[in-house]
Amino acid sequence: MGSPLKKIMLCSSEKEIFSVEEQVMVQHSVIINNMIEDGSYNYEESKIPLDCVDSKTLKKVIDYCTYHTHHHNDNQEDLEAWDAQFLNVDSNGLYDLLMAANYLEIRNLLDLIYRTIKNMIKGKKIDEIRRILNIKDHGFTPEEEEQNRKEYPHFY
Amino acid sequence: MTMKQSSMEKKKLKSINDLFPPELIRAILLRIPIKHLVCVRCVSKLWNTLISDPNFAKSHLDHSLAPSHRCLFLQGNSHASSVDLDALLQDDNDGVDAIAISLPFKMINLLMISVLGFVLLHCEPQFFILWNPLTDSSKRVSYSHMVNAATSYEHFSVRREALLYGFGYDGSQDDYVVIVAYKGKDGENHFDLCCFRSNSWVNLDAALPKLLDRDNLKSKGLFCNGAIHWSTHEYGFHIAPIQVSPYYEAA
Repeated sequence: MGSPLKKIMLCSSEKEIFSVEEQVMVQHSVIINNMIEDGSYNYEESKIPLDCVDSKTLKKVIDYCTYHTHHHNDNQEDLEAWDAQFLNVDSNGLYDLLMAANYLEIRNLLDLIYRTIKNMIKGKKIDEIRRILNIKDHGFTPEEEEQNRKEYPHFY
Repeated sequence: MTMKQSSMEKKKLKSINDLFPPELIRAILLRIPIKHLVCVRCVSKLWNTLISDPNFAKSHLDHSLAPSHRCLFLQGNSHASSVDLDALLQDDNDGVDAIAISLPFKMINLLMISVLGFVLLHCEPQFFILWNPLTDSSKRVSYSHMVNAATSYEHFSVRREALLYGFGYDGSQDDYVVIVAYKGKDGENHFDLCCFRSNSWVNLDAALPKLLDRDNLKSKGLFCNGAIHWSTHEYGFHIAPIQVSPYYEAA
């Protein structure tokens, strides 16, 4: 565990540097926790390059980790309301967050996003799911697609 | 106007399948409740492949904090329907519809045992079908060797002629197994076990428990707590369990 006052530097794909309380990232990100624990992070010189995370997304991720570190004692309802507000972004924003959370291994954020995407899919018709997730090339042959439409007309 | 168009284009949604590696899509699909999976697998070929993977069903089960309860009905020998029992038991339900399900084979004989979401079906003559109604995938395994080894029955049928049969899940091997005991031409009792993963039959070098070594009306076993159980009607409710373990010991 890192000391609460220490700061670490994260570097976005645009080379923008974000300074974050070490504790915040160590608690949430498995890979940053590993880096700190195995001593591969040098406080004097290191910054952690996150080449696949843009500044806008990295800022959101840091917001999430910071809020959840400082409010983990809040009641569940308040946290859920905050999470819902936090994920009130367009699909591309959501996808960027998912990629970042996956890359940094932030498990509770990953789980939150998985659940959100699940709710976008659950109970919807196939054509609607394809539209929401912009699946233009579904990969089925015309014959397979026709077969499915014939077999499950109520799903489309 | 042109500027507006180009910024619209930039904001064009990306496709989830192009963006994410299959593991992430699988993680999302694992969270979708069972009843939506048949629909969801028609969304794209990739999703269909991920959901049809034999390990998906097990991971899905592990993932569901509250597994759902469904009742499966066989109508005739070619149609089945399923009823969502959880929805039925909710206070505010105003009737629950039975959903028609297509069976993997026509002419299924009435042998249905369900274990952990998988159903064992029986087709006469000569094969069992391991069926996952969730994904409508199935695997079949022949028992013709038993027909050849059995006594003079011209039409050997597991349901009628087996001394015992049972269907279970072997957690140590992560495999579904079928056990059948029958009397052979040689007059000896045979005790065979089929593993679906390797699609092979093994002769168990075990004697039938004494109580079960005879014609038994209750030849169908019940899988419970990792073992298949048969009731013996001689003394009412004696139960003879057979552990489904790597050693396949008869208890």
